[in-house]
Amino acid sequence: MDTEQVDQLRASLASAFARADGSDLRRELRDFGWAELLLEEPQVAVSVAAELQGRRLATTAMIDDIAEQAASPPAGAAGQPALHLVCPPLGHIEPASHADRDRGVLVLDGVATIARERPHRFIAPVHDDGGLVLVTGAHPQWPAHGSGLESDSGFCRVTAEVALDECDITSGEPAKELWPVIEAAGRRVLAHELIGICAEMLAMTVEHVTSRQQFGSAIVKFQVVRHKLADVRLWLEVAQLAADAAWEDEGPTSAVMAKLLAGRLAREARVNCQQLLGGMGFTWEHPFHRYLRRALLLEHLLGDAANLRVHLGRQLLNDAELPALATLT
Amino acid sequence: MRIQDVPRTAVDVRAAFQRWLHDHADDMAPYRAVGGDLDAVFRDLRSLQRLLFGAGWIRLGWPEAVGGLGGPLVLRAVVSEELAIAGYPPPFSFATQEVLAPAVVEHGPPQLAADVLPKLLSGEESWCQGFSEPEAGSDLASLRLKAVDDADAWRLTGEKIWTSWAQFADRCLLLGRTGASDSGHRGITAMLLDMDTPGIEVRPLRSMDGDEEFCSLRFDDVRVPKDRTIGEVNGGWAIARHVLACERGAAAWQRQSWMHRRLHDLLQRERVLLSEERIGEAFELVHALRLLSRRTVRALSAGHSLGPTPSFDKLLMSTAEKFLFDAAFDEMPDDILFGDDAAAGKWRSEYLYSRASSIYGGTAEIQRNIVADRILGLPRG
Repeated sequence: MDTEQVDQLRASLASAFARADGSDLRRELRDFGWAELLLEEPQVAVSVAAELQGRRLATTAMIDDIAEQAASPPAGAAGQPALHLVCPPLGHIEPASHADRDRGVLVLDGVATIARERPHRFIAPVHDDGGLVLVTGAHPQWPAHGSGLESDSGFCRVTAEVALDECDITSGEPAKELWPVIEAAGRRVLAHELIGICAEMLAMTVEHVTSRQQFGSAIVKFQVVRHKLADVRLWLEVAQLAADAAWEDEGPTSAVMAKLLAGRLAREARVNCQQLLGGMGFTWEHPFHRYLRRALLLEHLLGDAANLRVHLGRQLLNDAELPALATLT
Repeated sequence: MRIQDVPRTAVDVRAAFQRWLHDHADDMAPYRAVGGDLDAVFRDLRSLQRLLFGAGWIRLGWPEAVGGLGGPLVLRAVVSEELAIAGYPPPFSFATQEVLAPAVVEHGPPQLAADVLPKLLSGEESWCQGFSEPEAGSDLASLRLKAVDDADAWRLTGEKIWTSWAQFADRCLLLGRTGASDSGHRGITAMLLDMDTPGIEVRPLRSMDGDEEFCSLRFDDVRVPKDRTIGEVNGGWAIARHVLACERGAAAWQRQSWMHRRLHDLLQRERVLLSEERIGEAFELVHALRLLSRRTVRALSAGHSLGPTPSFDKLLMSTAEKFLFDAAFDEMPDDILFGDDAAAGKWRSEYLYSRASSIYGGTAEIQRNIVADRILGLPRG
């Protein structure tokens, strides 16, 4: 797709998001031909839609769609019950779900999207006898609502037990190959979504400091204010480049980088924008807190900054060399 | 290398240069550990440059009209990266080539560029950059060194400061005030002058790492022929911006190659003390610089105008460099504080030099101003 086509796509996806306005975005996207777009142009589909999702604080099943696509290309989608990806608990990289062979149950422990439709299925990375396996199955008591700090996020905490003999288990090499693919695809979605959220935080802050006056001058004229905004803008640029670069090799390490740098952007934006929005940014009325909540949640999905850095550092120390990323061609 | 055998794409050049480095490992071996006093270092780096120029590698990505072998600029970035990956230091004027030469090639008189470029690329001569003045650092547009119109020449009187390696330089790309004293960025002209012209006094300043890199220059009625003018008369600000964009972008690419190498060196230590998290974060930041400077190199190579985006590269360069050498310090405090061997001296010197990375080439504050003014477009006071 050339730039013009991507812009057109962005415009029409934006109207689909606007039409749904949070209520039934999934149906709008289905009518839009989302599944086909994801299949044919995954990079354009995810980068454009996930960023829009972030900008509008919309909730979709995008992270499940990409897991579905990675797990069962390409026929599986139509007609099958919706699939929910069970991510490791917030912050973590290692799955906490495990197979309890003595009791014959799968102990699910993680974060997933809420169930809007029934029936549905789940797919979860699971520790089974020391090794990693991928388990798909069904669980009737899946939460239908979010809770806590960001109950509108469309995500919920999942803790449940399911009989192992009612599940499908992918183990061995196929599981070891598939989980990193799903994980990387998920991190790319989260990176683009965080970029959308932070671009909105920055825009609303620029608007605020430009229209508000203190000491007889617009706040934006103070250098310390401009420099904080410049820092947020720097990390926005970096996060954008890293998210795009993660599609070059679609590899696990470049996806970790995309998520890490999007997380760095999110922390910079949360802290600086909130400070510059002053008291207004602390009110319920101002939209900032909604972006803050969503960012806090997404930053912790599929590995927070500390865990991703540990993961990366361990890889470097084990290999005693740096992986070749973002080749200059 | 014959012109018709020259590899033309980044992929081909990468492969061919790797092969050449492998085949010439013996010739190259002495350059792995360049050290000793300043004269010895310069002699070795110059000889390394001559070797690479002779084999054609430093001629790639430069127009044939100035002694190059043609091909896109990106080939230069590939060569510098592979050299760093293989563990060799950057040759004598590698950075100067990326910072100063593009402006001379694109805006200088063609004959001048054809005369001087091969000498710079081959290591036969070196150049320095005469921009900053005692009261015109961050506020470069207020520079005062007078360039008085005298028929077919400019006559220079005034001062320059922070000029790197001016004591060894054969030429200087200099900005002078050709307009009225209050003409700001509209009254500046760029010129390439010979450092052996009578009336130039060079005084090295010892910096905190012990090197005498930076110099202060005094000009007393120095005559520069007008055919040494680079770009338009009173159009020097455009040249300055071009040079600074190259410094903040293309040279930052060389810098990230070198930071990758030094992080790699840290990983080779027998027992690494740094936490996994810190190593991961160092790589995260060096990678971020790579992404920014790669974008700049590609834009330069495609002939696209850069606009203000190299300011991002410069901000990230100092952020990554300081983080990396803070980590190195904590990895080996004994070596950096007490060590007297060459390796310890190198880490110590690089640690200290990294402190300057948010100052030279436009301070971090100036870069933030540029991002705020020209990228965010914030209304100014």
